[in-house]
Amino acid sequence: MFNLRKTTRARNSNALLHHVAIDQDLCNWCGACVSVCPPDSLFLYEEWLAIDHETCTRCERCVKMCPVHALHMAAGSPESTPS
Amino acid sequence: MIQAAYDVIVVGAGPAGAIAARKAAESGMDTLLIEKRLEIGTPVRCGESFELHTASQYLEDIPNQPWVNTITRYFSIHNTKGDCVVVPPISPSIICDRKIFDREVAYTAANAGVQVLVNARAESLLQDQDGAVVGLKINCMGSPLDVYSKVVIAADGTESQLARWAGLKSIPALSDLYVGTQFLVSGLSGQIRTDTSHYYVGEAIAPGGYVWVFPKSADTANIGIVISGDRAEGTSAQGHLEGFLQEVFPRARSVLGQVTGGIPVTGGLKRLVTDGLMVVGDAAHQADPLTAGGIVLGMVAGDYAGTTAAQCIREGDVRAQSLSRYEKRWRERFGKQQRSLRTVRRMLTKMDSDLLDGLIRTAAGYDMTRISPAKAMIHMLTKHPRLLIEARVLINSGLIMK
Ligand SMILES: Cc1cc2nc3c(=O)[nH]c(=O)nc-3n(C[C@H](O)[C@H](O)[C@H](O)COP(=O)(O)OP(=O)(O)OC[C@H]3O[C@@H](n4cnc5c(N)ncnc54)[C@H](O)[C@@H]3O)c2cc1C
Ligand code: SF4
Ligand code: SF4
Repeated sequence: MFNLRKTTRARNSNALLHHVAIDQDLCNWCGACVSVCPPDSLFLYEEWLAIDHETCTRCERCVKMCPVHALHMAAGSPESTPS
Repeated sequence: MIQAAYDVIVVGAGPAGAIAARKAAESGMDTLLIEKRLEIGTPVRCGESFELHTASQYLEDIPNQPWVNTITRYFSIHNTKGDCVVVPPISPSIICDRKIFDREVAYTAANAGVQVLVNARAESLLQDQDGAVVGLKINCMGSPLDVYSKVVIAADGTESQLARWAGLKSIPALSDLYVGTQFLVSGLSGQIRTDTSHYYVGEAIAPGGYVWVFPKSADTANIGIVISGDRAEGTSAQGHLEGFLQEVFPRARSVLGQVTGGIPVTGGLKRLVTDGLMVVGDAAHQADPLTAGGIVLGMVAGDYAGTTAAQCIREGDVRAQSLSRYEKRWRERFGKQQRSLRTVRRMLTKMDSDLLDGLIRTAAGYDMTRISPAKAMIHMLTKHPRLLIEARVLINSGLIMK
């Protein structure tokens, strides 16, 4: 799915502790969060927002600005939250 | 259907990309315009209002087009206390149906010779050993392929990744990003004027932003909000908008559509070109830093970029130095204005809410069709001496003459 990445960064050391969770029901697929993500970890498909947990640094910029609060920090590994 | 190479590839069929492609084709370039969505124009991410005068350079007979819903000739600016000042703007505003509008603009590109393809996503850049952009990896209707070009124009909107891939840093500070949402609301008969674009300002309404009411008909309107990206954590933009509707239009219960999005309002990327690549529109942060209007500014940028790309290709030099003629032309026309408007937005964001309410209350007493802006400003200053502190910002920004 992430064939767009040119380089894959080292796995974040906090990766297993918490992660960004997307509520696909709330998300309006507007792409605003994509524009603020420093490591380019978000990608908007037509009607699906995808996140690359490997490169996400958990900076929470996307969580803070989402116009409809469709993102939140969740405990545990990404696999624990289906998205 | 798709060729192995073009003179120009434009990514993103919004207004900026469509005009860029059209201008390149009109200058004789073999041009491809790709759009990742299945349908140009949807989902809409816009308040659907633009200024008629400048747009008329690019589209004929706008007022009579089927995608025009209303034409407003006044702005009314409201504060949190119910006061309102009516300002006649320099040019009327068109409230349009952007779904149809975007497709129509893309059609004018196709009609000028551009090959337009939807369901075609740019996935990464093709670069030569020196890093110059020479084409794109595209996923076209499910098939991956490499397509070469002399110039790539990135018109891929807010979520732009092309500029980033090319090394033109494009991540705005959250305070330089408007985030917003909008409802198409019905049941407004008798509560709105179809000749007026209504704006509501104040910390309690929209922190660091504003609410707009753009009439789509006598009974329906786009009612939307933008707030500053760094003030969206507590209550979301949507939460603020719902609060506003409850307070101001409690009888309007139906929402016929929703639009959500973010608009970078930095005033423009530091660099708009690199070897073989140009950036236009929202991807280049070219929307108005105060109002977030980006349709017309994107079209002008598209015009300059498409025309410049053609010139450079004809001269056989598509390096950054050569392509930067586009950047220069853009900055000469809009650079100062964009900087000033950003300064004003920052000033308004910090302004004490009582002062802002007071200013609108005072201005509500003027007949803005008769009084000159300078005179209004002097009256304002005598009534609100605290404004003197803020006036310095306005003067430094160049919006008010010394
Ligand atoms: C809530 C809201 C209200 C607004 N209200 C107004 C308003 O009233 N008036 C106004 O003038 N402006 C308004 N704006 C701003 C306006 O919508 C934008 O400035 C304008 O659409 C910018 O045009 P553009 O062509 O640069 O980008 P867009 O119109 O965003 O077009 C970019 C296109 O690129 C496509 N794309 C992205 N990535 C790829 C890829 N990898 N491959 C292929 N295609 C891709 C996208 O699908 C999209 O169609 C508003 C914005 C928002 C969010
Ligand atoms: S900003 Fe929010 S609504 Fe928009 S795509 Fe991101 S998560 Fe979805
Ligand atoms: S938390 Fe930061 S790095 Fe992770 S997806 Fe959000 S913006 Fe990107």
